[in-house]
Amino acid sequence: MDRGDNRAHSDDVRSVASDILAHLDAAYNLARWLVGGEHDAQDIVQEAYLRALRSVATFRGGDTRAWILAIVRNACFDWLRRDKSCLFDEMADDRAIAATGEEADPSQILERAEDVGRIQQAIAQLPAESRQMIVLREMEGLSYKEIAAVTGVPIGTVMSRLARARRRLAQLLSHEGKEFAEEAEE
Amino acid sequence: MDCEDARDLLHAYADNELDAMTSRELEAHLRDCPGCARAFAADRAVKTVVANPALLHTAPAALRDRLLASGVFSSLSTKTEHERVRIPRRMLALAASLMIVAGLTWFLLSILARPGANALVAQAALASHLRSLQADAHLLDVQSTDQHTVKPWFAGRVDFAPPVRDLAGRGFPLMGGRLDFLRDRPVVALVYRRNKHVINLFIWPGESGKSDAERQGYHLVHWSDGGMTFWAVSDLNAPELHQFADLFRAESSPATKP
Repeated sequence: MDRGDNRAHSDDVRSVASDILAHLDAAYNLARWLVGGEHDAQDIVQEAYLRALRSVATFRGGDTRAWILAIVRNACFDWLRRDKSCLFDEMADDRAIAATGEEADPSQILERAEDVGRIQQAIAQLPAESRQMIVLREMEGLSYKEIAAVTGVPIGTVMSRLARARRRLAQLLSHEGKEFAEEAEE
Repeated sequence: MDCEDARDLLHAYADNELDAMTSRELEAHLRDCPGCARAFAADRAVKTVVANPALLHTAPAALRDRLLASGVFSSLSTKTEHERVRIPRRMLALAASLMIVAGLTWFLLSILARPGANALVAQAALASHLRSLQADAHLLDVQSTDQHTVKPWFAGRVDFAPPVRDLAGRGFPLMGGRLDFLRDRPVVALVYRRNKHVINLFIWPGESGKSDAERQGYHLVHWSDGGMTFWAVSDLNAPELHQFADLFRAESSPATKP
């Protein structure tokens, strides 16, 4: 075995390891929002990080954040596919949006701004495909291009899923606002 | 541009992902179409609500420790790597942002004055914003996240009582305030933060309509409310600065609840 090559390779791996550790908060946040449970998210992220280092050869330089988030994202979806069956029904959102058919009221949505529990519930009700868009865009601040790289779909699909997710969230948040107000009056 | 096109583009506009020309066409449509303007306000509201930092999950220390104990991660040269990793990401971003501001300052100091009342005020507000962010300048006379500390500080220092709002729960924490001068008159400057971006909100008595402007990559949003003039200045993107203005205005209006 050639020791020189080996050392160069292990330096590469160390540098990638250090880079992806810097994105651990983002990776964990994505996993928590996708799979829900704290322990499942920790296990998935740990496994994904170790797997990432074993396949450093597939990393062609560039954006380490997008690369590690893609690996974590794929691990989460593998887990979801094994564990649940109904999370990929994107049409459910379209049906829900069409069924109510009303425009959301911006001021009602803003009234929910500090009610973290309700916002969490609303986001959790989105299908995983839509939820990842919200997490990557609004919480992690990724550009459409970066989101496309992480999720493996074209930019146009990123746009339409984000649009659909926000319309649905607008409805969920303003509806809950109404129900909450009625409860409070009683 | 018709409504159908506009609705397709609203989200990308709210995300700052539209090119300048399409943005301008969309802005023109939004000025004329209350329906689309309302849909856009709903988008912005959702973005504001979902950007609440309390929604972020931070990686548990146990996960970090487990990783650092396994495989290649354990061979990372220990101390510096750990410390580097543990600097909160927002702090890094804030530091980067301040450096960029400092770097741009020399360039911005050479802005030429253009006539027009609001343009002159915008210019002064931007200059003051930049001054406040320079390393040796003071950003805050009173440093507090508590509106009930910040507001009384101004009593006796200016001859009006500025509204001070707590928007921390909405992702715009208050940092404090300072006394400033804009075009030779004393004004109140409230300082808010949005992630890595600093927002200066200048307030003084008198109504002067509303406007917005973009100068050298900085955005300014101006409105009047309750006999006061407000100018918000930041390197934040335009949709988020408008969100800030919307939230501040909404909190300012007298409660309509029974």
